[in-house]
Amino acid sequence: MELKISNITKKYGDKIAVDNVNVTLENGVCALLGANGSGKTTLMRMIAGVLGNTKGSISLDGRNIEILDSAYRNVLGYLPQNFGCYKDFKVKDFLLYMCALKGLDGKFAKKRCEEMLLKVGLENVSNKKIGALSGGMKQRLGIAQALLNDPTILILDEPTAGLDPKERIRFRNLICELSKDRIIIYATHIVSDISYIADRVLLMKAGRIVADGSTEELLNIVKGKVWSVDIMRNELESYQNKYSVGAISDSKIKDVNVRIVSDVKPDEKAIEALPDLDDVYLYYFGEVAEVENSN
Amino acid sequence: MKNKEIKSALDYYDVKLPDEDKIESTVLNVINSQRTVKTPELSFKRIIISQISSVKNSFWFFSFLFLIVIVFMYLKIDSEYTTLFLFSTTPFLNIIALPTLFFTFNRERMELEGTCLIKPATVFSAKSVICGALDLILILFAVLISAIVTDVPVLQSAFLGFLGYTSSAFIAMCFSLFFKTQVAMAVTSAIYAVAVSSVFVFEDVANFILNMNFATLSIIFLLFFLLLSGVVYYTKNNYKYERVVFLYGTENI
Repeated sequence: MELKISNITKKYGDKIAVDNVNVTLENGVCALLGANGSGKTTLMRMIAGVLGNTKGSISLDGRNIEILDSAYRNVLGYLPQNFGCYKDFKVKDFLLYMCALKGLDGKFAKKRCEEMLLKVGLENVSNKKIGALSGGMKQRLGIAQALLNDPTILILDEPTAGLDPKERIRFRNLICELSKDRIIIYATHIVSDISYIADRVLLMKAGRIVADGSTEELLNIVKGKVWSVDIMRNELESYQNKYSVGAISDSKIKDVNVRIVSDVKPDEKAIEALPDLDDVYLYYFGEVAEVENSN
Repeated sequence: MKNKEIKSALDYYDVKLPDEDKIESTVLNVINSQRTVKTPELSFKRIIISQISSVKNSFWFFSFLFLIVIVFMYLKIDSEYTTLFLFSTTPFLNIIALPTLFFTFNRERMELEGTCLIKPATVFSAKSVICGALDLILILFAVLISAIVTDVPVLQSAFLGFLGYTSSAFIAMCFSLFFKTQVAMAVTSAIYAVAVSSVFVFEDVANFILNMNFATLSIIFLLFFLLLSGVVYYTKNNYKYERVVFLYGTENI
């Protein structure tokens, strides 16, 4: 299966939210990584068919999704970034309601809802109102509704927002399990969410895709540009002003050890370090990537 | 062989491409062959049935209340203006239907539900049919009671009942296009309250309505029916996420 995004542009008045994006997605997990406001959500909405585009087209196996219309929406699962507007629904009733919108039949719908509740570990709260659920539970419910129709294209916009570390691990495992035979598009600004599960990473900045490749390919971009150096605490500010400084930790030699992403060696004593995705993020965005609470 | 020779050799074969529908069904078969949930066959009738359960409980409750009040009032009030009561109560049915028809008209819901197999616009149509059908039954019932209890001709009662309904539905739908449902309900209620008060307070207004001939009544009714059809059609076609973004703005990009 192939989802082709060709020259997609979206403008809100004079503001360009997504600028001429060209990507072809195949089965597996594709992570869309970018800072807040980089255009991830707009791109996701256009792929989900909720939002029209100013220019360009999106096609599934060569067929424009606007022409496929209901056939496309039938194979789609979507978890939007904001998912908190069904407070008065009971968990079970909400899933049944979503089943009705996804065209699933009575008995089959009930069976499917039970399966999904079990899958996301919400079987014990099926009669609770959504408003009474914790943030993590709501997010899991959002994932359950996205999976109801067994989608072959699963779009997840910031799916781990509000999940605790244990739930994040559980969620990652679920994504790995699902990624076979389907396209999963996973937008996040949290690098650690996608480090181990993404087959492909797209870095998005100011509406454009600035880097595209597997985790290894992206790490190769910053290979030889990541440095570890021990410095005195009073030197920290000058380093932060001159270079992109990532992790800061205690040092046995001097006051602090800083991780720097720079094309040039920042100091004679600096040692080249093995890059990770956080460094890639820092290299492109010039800011430290947000990390999950457990780190 | 060179490419040109291969091309000219292949030109001898007349390959008939399948039509668009067949290509599309092949694509869908390939997509669906990988899924445990198959493409359901949906008819509008099935969509209507599936949406009955999602109609708000308040709509059923207030519709039932409307029925009781109508019966009670007709049996208790003995006045030449009894039929006007029918004219003045039917707009209430529209006000209580608005939350059911427009509760998806919310940015976050529209974002999620816009990706489902059944489009929000289709859901809106299905719910319009459900609410409209129930309202039709209720108004016909009220007209029937009016015909039994009063001397006003059935046709005039029916015209008055449906004129009140269509005119207020048109106003309510117009406001719902530009304001949040609660605001639309409040504004429509206010207009409705002023209109009803004027009918009952000013005798001339009541007499004017009661003495309208069938031709005038039918022309006004037809006018509002056409306006209502137009606004329903427009709403259905604009019942999408972009419309909501236009009304309420967008939070994230």
